[in-house]
Amino acid sequence: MQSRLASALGTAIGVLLFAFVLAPIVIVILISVTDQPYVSLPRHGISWRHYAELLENPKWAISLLNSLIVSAGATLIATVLGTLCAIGAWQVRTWWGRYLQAAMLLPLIVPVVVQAVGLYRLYIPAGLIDTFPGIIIGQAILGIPYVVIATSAVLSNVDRRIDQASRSLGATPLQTTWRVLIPAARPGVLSGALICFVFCFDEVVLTVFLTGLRTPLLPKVVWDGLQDDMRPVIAAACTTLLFAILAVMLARLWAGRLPALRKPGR
Amino acid sequence: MRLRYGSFLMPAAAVLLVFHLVPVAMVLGISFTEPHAGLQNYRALLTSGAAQNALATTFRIAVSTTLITVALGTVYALIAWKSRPAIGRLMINTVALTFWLSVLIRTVAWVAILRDNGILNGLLQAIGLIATPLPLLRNQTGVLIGMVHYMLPLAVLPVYNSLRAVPVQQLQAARSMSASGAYILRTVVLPQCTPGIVAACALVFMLSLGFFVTPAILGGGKVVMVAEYIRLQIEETVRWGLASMMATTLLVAVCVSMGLAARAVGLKRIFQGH
Repeated sequence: MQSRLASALGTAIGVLLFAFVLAPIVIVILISVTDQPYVSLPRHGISWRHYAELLENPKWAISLLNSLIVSAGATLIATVLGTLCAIGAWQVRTWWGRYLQAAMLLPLIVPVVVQAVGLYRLYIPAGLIDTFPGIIIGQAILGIPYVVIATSAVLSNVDRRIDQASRSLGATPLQTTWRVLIPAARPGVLSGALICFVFCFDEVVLTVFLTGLRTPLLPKVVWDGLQDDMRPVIAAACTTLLFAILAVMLARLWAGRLPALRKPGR
Repeated sequence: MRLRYGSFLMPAAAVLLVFHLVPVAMVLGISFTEPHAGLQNYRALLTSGAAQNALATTFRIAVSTTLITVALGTVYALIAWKSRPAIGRLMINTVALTFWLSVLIRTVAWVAILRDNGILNGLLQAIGLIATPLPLLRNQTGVLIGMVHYMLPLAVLPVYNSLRAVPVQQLQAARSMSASGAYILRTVVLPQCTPGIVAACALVFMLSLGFFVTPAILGGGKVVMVAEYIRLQIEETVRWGLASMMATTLLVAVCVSMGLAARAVGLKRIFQGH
């Protein structure tokens, strides 16, 4: 009797917590299709008018495009640098290699607001405030740790002898890296790059500090919209973003299921 | 040969140096040199009510967020672990998915839910539980709700991982000796989750200290945490010295908590569930 009561209580708490976890997602989607002109749940049916506003107002399209460009640029830089770093550290196995690799994780630990203040200060004399290169490099720094972690994790399971095998067949380090190690590390590189892209896409702190009117990015436009009067079009933008993130996540799952890397040497 | 591969580390190291270490060092430097050299910025920690307020608020909210998040996260992980596999998987995958959700999207949703004329107050009024709307936004309650929701995956996942490592045989053995569920939980299950729970506490606490978006929006200017204080100093009053001093203080606080947590459970563990 007592245990049945306990299990019923457990179920009830579980349902409540699950509702708490899901509530914001469900609510944002519902608000985005409301038939009212203000933020509320749909009353008499659903309406797509807020999505129409999203398409009609160029502010949203431009900031979305900018955000895509910035995230893609930052991801590219972070992926190239992070992958090289992980491969280098895997190869050298010396104390300074380990230290450098560990140092790459610093941006994860240092609060973003501290980095944002420092970059702001660095960027003022360099003229990089409110420019694409400025925000792209700033976000790339935040993304490098994810690429290094994911790539190193995959590399740690790679047999070190494939490197010797490749060299004994006459490959140079560059050839070995490009044709053996990068393919071997590919699942980690891809997953690191996807994490990096998603994080850069909604990085708010750097965006609020380092960008302005010349480089409107999606998070900043949503941020400004929240400061003023919140309207359902923000929920429509968020829902679009939500499904974009979901698509990237599914892509990541799919990438994880890709047939294992080509056997080296074949 | 070794040197060649060593050079692979250099581009990342150079970028990290110029765009991370140098800016952070500049922040440390500015805190001692602007508007003039000395410790006057740090004196604000003793004299300025606004600075003390921001620090106290940050500490209070970080501690509350950590305790609530880890408690709820442990319960959530336990329920998912005890449930049928399909339900457990659904619970864990859902919470892992929300981790990927933009903090802005969630904040937008919480604003809509918690406002005076928002969804929760509307619901509670409709069923007659309350007569006047509960104040849930622009105060500490709102900030806590938003932050706990953001941090929950960071607590659930490490605890769930340690739960899955508990050997089934131990549970069977305990049950065969007719130990009660609560007793098994207390003596067999929870001790084995302690490292996961401590790691979750450390991660949530460190992230809470520097949190920006949720307090800024759900606190509506009424709940000023350290990150928001820094933004105000730079964008509204242009006092770089004070902003850098606070950023330095935040950095030191994060490093100290990190060091303590690393001594307790090891650095690797803290970032495992991440």
